[in-house]
Amino acid sequence: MDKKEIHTEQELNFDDETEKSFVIRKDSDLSKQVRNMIVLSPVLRLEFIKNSLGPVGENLFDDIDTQYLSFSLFDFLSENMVFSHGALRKDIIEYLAYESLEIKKSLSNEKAFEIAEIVLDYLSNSRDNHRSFSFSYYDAKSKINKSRNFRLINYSVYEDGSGYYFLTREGFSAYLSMYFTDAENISEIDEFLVKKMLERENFDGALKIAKRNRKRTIEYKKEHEHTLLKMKRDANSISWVSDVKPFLERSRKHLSERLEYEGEMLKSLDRYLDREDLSDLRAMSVLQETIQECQRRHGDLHRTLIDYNEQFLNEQVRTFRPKKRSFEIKNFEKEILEKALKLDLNDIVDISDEITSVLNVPVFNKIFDPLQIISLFEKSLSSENEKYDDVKEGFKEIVDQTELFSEEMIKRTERYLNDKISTDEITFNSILKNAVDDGLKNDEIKCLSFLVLQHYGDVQLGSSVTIEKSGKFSSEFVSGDNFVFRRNHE
Amino acid sequence: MNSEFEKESLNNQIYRASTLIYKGLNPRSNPLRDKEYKELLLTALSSSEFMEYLESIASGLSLVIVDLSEKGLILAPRSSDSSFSMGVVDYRKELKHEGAETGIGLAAIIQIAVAFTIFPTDDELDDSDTLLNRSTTIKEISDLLIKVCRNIVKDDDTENIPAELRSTAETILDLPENIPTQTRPTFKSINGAVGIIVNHLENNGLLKFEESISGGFYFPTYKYHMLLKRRSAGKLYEIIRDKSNDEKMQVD
Repeated sequence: MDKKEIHTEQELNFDDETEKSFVIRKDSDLSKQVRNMIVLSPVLRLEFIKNSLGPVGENLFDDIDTQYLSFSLFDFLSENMVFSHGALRKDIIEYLAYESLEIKKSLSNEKAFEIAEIVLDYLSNSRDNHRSFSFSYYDAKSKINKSRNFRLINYSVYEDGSGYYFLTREGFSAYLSMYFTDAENISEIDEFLVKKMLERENFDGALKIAKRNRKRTIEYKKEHEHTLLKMKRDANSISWVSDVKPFLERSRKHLSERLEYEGEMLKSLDRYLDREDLSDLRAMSVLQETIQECQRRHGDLHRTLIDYNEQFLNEQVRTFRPKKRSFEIKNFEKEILEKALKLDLNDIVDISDEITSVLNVPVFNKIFDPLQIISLFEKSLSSENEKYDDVKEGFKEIVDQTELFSEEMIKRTERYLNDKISTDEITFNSILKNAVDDGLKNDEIKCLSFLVLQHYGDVQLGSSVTIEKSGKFSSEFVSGDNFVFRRNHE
Repeated sequence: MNSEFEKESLNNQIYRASTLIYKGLNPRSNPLRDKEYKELLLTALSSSEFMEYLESIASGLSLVIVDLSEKGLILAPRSSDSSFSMGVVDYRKELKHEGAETGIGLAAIIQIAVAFTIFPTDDELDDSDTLLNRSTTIKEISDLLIKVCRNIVKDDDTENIPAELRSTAETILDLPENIPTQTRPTFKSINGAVGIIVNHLENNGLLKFEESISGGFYFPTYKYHMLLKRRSAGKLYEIIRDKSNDEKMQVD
C-alpha cells in the first residue's frame, strides 16, 4: 500500500472534536513518536511481570492494577512537587498502600505496604541500583537502532538531609501519557479543548482539562528551573549565543502566547458568571481559579526569564572555581582500588590514616571537660532512642531525663531485678547477660542498668541487700565498675 | 573615625568568615533552616574579598575548601596530620590494638570500595546532570570487593610468599563474608566492616539510607560527590601510586 494512503486513512479516523488536522507524517516523525512512547515501557512492563514480583507462590498482585498504581504514584509525586522538592519515601509508600487497599479491600496492611514498595522500587529501577532505564528503538532518520536512556523517577538528597523522590521530564511525559514530550504542543491542544468545552457550557469537562493543563505548567516551570540551574552550574561551559539565548526567546514566546490565551479564557468566563444556576457557578469559579493559577505561574516564569540575562552573567562571575586535576584517571576501579589491593598489608596499614582522612569529612575532637562525662554517659545510653526530629524554627524540645523510661517499664524491670537478687551472689555483669538471654529488649536492659546504679547509692536498700564493688567489666550496654549483689539472710 | 569603622568592618568580616567555617564543619548544618548560614554562603559567593578571608581562615585551621555553593560549604582536612583529620581509629577503638592490622587494612580498602562502587569512572564523577546518579547496597559493595580481590589473587603466584608480604587482596579473601552470631557489626567480617563504614558515612551526611523491604539502599549526597570529584579521587590516586612506587623501588 502506498504510504500516502495510510496517512489519509488515519486522518479520517480523527474525532471531530479536536478539529486539528495532522500533517502527513514522514518516517522520522514516526520514530519520534516511538521514542516518545518508550517512556511508558516501564509502566507496561510492570503490569506484565507483576506476578513474578513479590514472594514466591503468593500471588501478591492478583487483582491489583499496577498501571493504576503507577499513575497514582506519578500523580502523587507531581502534587508534591508543587510546594516541595518531591515526596519522601515513607509518604509515598503510605499513599500507595492506601490506594492498594482501595483496589482490593481484602489486603492486609502489611501486604498493601509490600505492594507499594515493589511498585515504587520497580519504577525507580532500584533493582539496577536506580540507574536509568534503557530501551531501544529504530531511528528512521539515521537508519539504525538507537537506545533511549531515561528515568521516570529520580531521587535527590537535599540540604535538610532528607531524600526526595520526584518526577523527571520523562516521568511527566509518561504521566501525561501524551505522545509528544513537547509541553508546548500539549498546552495548545488542551487550551483548545477547554475553549470548546466552555462553548458547550460543559464546565466540569473544562475544569478537568484546565487542571491537567495546570499540572503541565508545573512541569514546564520545573523544566525551566532545571535548565536554568544547569546553566548556572555550567556557566563556564555553555554558550550564551547558541544555547541560552534561543532557549529564552522560545520560552518567552510560548509564555506570552499562554498568558494571552489565559486572559481571553478568563474574559469569556466572566460572561458566564452572571448565571443564577448555582452548581455551574461553583464549577466555573474553580475553573477561574485554576486558570488564574496557571496565569500566575506563567507570569512568574515570564518575569524570571526576563531577569535571566543579568543573572546569567553574574553567575559566570560567582561560580566557585576549584583547581583542575593535573592528570587524568579514567577507571577508578582499576587505577585506585586494584592498585591498593595489590599492596601488601603492612603498606596499606601505613597509609590507612591518609586514606581515611581523604575520604571523610573533618571531625571535631571534643575538648575534655569532666562535667561533660555525665552527659556523655546519659547520651550514649539514650542514643539508640534518639531520632533526628525536624525542629520547628525557634523552638526546641527539652528532653526530660526522668522520662527516659515509662513508669510501667521501671516497675516491670524492678520486679525482674528483685527476682534475680537472691541469697546467692550475682554480679552486675551476669544480671545483664541473663537479661539478654531472657529476651529483654535493649531499652529494658538500659533501664535495668540505671536501676542497678540507683540501688548502689540507695541507703535504705542497703539493709536487705548487700552491694559491693568488685572489679570492672565491659558489655555492649554499659562498662565500668562491676557489682556483687547478695540478699541478706532474714 | 574612618579607620575605626574600617577596623570594625574588618573584625566583623573575620567574625563572619569564621562563623561560616564553623557551620561548614558541622555535618548537620542546613542552609534551608539556618538563615545565617545561607546569608554567609551568599556573601561568600558574591564577594571575592570575603572569599579571601574564608580561604585564609580555612588555611590557618589546616582545612581546605572543597566546594562552596548555596547548598553549603564543604571542607576537608588539609592532610592526615591535621587535628581535624579522621583516622581509622575513629571507626573503632579496637583498631588501635596489636594484631588489628587486618581490620585496619579492611577499613582502608572498604572506604575506597564504597566510593568507587557508586562512582566507578571519571564520567560518573564528572556528571553534573543526575542521569548517571545511582544507589548502592552493602551487598553490592562486598560483592565488588570480593570480585576484585579474586581477580588479583588468581594472577599472583602465592605459593612461596611469606605472610607479611601477601597482598591485601589475599588477606581480605581470608576473612569471612559474614559472622551471623554477632549482634553488632565488627571489622572481623567483610559485611560487618562495610556496614560500619556506610553507617558512619551516613551520619556525616555523605550517604543517605532509604529503607526498603529488599534491605534498603544508600544514595550518595551532593557532598560526597563533590568531595570525591574535587579532592578524594585525585589525592587517593597519588597516595596509592606513591606507595606502590616506594615498594617497587625497595625491590629493585
